[in-house]
Amino acid sequence: MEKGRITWPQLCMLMYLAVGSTSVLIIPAITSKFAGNDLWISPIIGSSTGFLTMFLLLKLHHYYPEQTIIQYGERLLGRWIGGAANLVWLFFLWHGAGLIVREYGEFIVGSVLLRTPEFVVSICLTFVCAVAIRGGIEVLGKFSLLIAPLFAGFIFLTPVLLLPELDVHHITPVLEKGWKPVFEGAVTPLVWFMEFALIGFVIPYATGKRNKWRWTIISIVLMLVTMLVTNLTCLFLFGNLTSLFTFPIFVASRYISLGNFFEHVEAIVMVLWVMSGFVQMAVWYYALVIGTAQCFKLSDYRPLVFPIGILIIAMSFWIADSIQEMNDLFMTSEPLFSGTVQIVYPALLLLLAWWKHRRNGGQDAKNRSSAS
Amino acid sequence: MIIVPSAMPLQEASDANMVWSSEGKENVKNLENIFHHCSDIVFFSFSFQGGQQASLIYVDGMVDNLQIDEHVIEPLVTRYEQDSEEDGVTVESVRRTLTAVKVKTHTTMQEVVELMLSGMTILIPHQSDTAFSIEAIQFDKRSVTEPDAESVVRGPRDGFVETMQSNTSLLRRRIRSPKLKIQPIKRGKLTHTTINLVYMEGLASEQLLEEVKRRLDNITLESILDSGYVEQCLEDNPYSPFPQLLTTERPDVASSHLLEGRVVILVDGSPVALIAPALWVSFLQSPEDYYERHFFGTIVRWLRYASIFVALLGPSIYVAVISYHQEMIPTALILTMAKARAQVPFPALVEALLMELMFEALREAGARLPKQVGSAVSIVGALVIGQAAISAGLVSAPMVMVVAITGVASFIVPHYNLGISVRLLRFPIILLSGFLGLIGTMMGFILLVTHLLTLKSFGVPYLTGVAPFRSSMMKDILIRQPVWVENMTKETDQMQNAEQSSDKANQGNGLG
Repeated sequence: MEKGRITWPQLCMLMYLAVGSTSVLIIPAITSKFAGNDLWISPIIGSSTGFLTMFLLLKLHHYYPEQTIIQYGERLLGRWIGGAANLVWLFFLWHGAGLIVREYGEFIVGSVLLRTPEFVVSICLTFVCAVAIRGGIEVLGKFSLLIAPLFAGFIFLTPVLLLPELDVHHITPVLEKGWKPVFEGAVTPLVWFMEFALIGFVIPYATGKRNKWRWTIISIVLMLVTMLVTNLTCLFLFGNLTSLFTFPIFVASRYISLGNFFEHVEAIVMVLWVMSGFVQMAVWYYALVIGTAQCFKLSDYRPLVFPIGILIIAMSFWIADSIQEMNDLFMTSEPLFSGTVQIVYPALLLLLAWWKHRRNGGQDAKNRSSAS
Repeated sequence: MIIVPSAMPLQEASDANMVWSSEGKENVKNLENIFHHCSDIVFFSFSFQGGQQASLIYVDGMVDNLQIDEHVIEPLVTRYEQDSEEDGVTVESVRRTLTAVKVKTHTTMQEVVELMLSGMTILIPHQSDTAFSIEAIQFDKRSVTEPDAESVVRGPRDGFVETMQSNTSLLRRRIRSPKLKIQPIKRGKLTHTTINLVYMEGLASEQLLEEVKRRLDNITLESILDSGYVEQCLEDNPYSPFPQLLTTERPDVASSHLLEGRVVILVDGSPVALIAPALWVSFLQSPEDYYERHFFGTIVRWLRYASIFVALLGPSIYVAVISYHQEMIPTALILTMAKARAQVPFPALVEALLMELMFEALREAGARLPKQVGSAVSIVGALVIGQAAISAGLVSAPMVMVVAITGVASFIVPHYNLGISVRLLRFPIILLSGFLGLIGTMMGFILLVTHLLTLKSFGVPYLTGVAPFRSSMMKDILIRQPVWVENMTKETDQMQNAEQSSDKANQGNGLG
């Protein structure tokens, strides 16, 4: 179905952007709301799910190296249960893709194009993604390898440019109210890091002799460092005020001023986020499209791209009435939904795969998957 | 230019006359019928020493008359001797008498017709079943001059011309190696144009060669008047706005690409050679980068990367910023800009489109006009685009600046055909920026990059080097590596040799 192949570094950057882009926008405000000036500890706790999910999916990849999670889910659970589980996964992807389109739409309409209707922005973004997806996974892989260094570079450059404005004392007192608020603040990062489960849709298309463990872990660590840097930048700049902004890092970039000339760079920030957000949307969108095609055993996924795009736009409006409601979603139902689909379900699959693998005595499961 | 949709192919022109008879006289008559109403075909009859009749047939203006006189007619008329007592004229005796170098014999009408049309002189003795072709070609051709479209300050000044022989010899003179292979293919049902496939054996990959040959074989055009016809038939994606074959008029550029394992396609009658596969980065390289010192080469290259971005995105970013993101402009500047724009009745988008269209029109007019009136256009252009438009209140001064900078930037691209696509793509991106601000600019840019990522030239990804990333190519992308670096290992050997030889030289001079 997918003829293109990507390299491990491309996959690493793809996953980094697919998870990282929106987190930079939203995470600081949410973690700050709960954890206060300990908001930098929350992502560290949050990253645990990233490593766990990645471990589960890489192990599953080891058993079924040429299949996506949709394909081996059906093989392990059978036509009916597996099919039902896949439908839940697809619904989750649809929901997730809608959420991301909404986040970006809200961001652009809320901070740059104030008088543009949101659906115009959503439709344009989705259309650009659709065109890229029709180009296949190779385009996404190469594009993210081009964009990720720029994105990461700017994230790490922001605190350097803001250096005169930063105040390190905002970090104290550490753990003033104990661990409880920190864990509460970690809920959203926990959900975010679970998104690495999306690798289950792209990992079969990665080739090359490089160490897959190393590159996937690099992508999680890069993600963690990015969250730490943005959270700390916001903390040092705004202190406990961070939670008052919707997109704190965007506001932070407004403070950049070098020699009275290099200032008001928020448009550049926005441009970078549009590019990385494009990758993020495209990966979710791609997973949804290829998952649907595999779930219904179609021979080509391309005809699905545009219809599913329309569904995603519709979902982006159904998901919440306002950005506050959306943030509320991240704290209430979303963690459970994500956790079930992205951790519990792969864990179950891994258990089954491991059990089958043992029962069939070693090589069987491997042979079967490579034969198909 | 009108391409005749379906004319009769040559061999079907007059079937009855295309039969080769054993009687030479018949054949001459048939040829006369075939070339009925062709006043440029000369039929010249004369008799040999022994009285045998013969005809010389050639295209007027393509044959060296002096050579024909000296090496064909004169020996046959004065020294011809029949070896046997037979009536007919034998091949051996004619061959022995002729002093011309390249003589071949033919016995089919089609061969004879094709050879004659490509400039050979045909000799048909009336009492023989054989025709002789004598190569004494001479026709008017443009001499080798510096190509106007790709000029350099430093570097060789010769350029390809319309004649195939001159072009192949220009390449052969640069690469004196038997590994330089030149394979002819004839294409074009009416024009019978020679297309030469030039490559370095061992350097060009077999796969590439086969692919190029396959695509050349698939050309079914009636006529090929320029290499542009061939280029359009060879492209991977004919709907892409980007050129997928590199074109050059410079033999030094062609040679350097040959030595990098690429294939050069020369088309008879066109001074423009095609190079395949073409990579995005090759379009941004000029031969002078390599002839000047390497610092200069590197800096100029970066200047080009910057200017292609300016050429592509300059006006769109201006439109986006002025209509949506005024806060990005420093305060002092925005005040003057606002003052300049206060009297302009159009939104920035319309202003930009208007000026860009005007600029394109002027450029096109300048390129097409006869040279004598060309200067008039530039004077009018300078006035229209410049001062007059501003004082008339049609456009603002900053917009004129932006258009001018974009224009200059688009001309920095060393390969004209990429410049065209960049200038073309500017318009949709300006429109997007006018509607969605910088988001629109970015969307246009992302669409463009995704298209470039899917594009291939002869199976090679168009952006090779950048994506897929090749660290080995970075020494020719990020910097222009000094030429001696590649030969570092050889250099040390040479230095040792040089030391030894200088020692010897010193001893020889007795200076110790």
